[in-house]
Amino acid sequence: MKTRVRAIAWVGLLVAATTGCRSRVKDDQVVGELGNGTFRYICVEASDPMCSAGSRASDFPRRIGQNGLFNLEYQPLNTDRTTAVRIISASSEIVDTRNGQFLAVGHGTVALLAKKVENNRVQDIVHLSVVPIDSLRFQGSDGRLPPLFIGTGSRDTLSVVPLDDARTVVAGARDYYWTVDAPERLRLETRSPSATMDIRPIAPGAVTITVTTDGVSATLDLEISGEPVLEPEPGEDGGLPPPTDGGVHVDAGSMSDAGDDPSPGADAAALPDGSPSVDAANDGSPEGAP
Amino acid sequence: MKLGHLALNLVLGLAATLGCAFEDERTRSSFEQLSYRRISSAPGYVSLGPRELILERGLAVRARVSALGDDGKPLPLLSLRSDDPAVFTIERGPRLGEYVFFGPRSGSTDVSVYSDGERVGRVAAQVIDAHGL
Repeated sequence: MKTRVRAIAWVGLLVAATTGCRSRVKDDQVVGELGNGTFRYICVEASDPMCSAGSRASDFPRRIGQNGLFNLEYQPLNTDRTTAVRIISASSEIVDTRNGQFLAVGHGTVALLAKKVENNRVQDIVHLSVVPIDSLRFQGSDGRLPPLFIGTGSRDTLSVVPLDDARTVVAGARDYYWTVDAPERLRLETRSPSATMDIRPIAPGAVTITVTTDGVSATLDLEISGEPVLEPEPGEDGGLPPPTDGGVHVDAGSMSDAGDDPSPGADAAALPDGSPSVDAANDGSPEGAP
Repeated sequence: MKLGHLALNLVLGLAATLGCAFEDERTRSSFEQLSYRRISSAPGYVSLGPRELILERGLAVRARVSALGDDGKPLPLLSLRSDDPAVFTIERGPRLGEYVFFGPRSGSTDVSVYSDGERVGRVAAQVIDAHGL
């Protein structure tokens, strides 16, 4: 009987200790494969879907989208927390370094190794997968599906996340370029490249928003209802200047591969001149315009 | 008489030197194979064999490595060096005697095995592409 109680007590202690250790590892961290410390995932830009809810990653991602930028930190488990550690990639063909950040250049599984600076010994290892971006998914401001119908005068925010071929969100910061086929009906009010876009419907009718990154595009069809909104003069009430022509019309449709150029044509959205990311289609009076 | 003593001393000295040399030659075991312990897991193909190491490109694995002589005993003061670190890289692991192997790019090379500062053997190292599996 005594032995039994003792055994139960030991098991209990073991479970408590294990649970305690686990609870110390935060969501954006993972224990290294050699068990000597923890790796933490760092978003380098807000466009990384891992940090869509804040500056800290919601999870430690195991899948990074190709051409995504990210960073890692390593914290040794031992008491000497001042130990300087350098993280290196096992293959620059899969994950390379750029300005002190990691860039997922190829695809495949790659190890990131934490090396102690003082003795150059590898302390720990973590493996990540780099996968190609297969498609993009639009999200509304609440992170759910975006609206299909919006009224003039309203404002909304759209965002986009990259998915792999298993329709799983993959990590990494990247540039997204936004265009709209009818800028006289809907204004894109955030400068590209950005993973989020503030939209402002100003006239009724159908519009198609296209977002592109690394040769992958997605389109979103929206129906705008309501009375046209009178536009303030440029500079008045924070209003934006009217869109210029010269944009490229992007066909509406489902997720499609748009080639290698992430900014098709003279994409006003890609210009760093403060112009809104508008894309004038034809002569600015597309079919069905009032 | 003195000359006889000198000759005897010379002969004895030479014999002792030769004896030591032969003794040393007799006890030094030649490299036979590598042996591994504490191999970490990796999400892909890894094969650490006695005379050949094969890794999938991009993967890294930690192991405690010993070099065994033809008498089955470990050789002293082991050191491993890759002939082409751009293909197959060897880093020192967290603890003494531990190494971390990784393959930056596909290809083949050799790993030189050193014991007590002297190269005692070579084993083959190969890094393969995941798509080639």
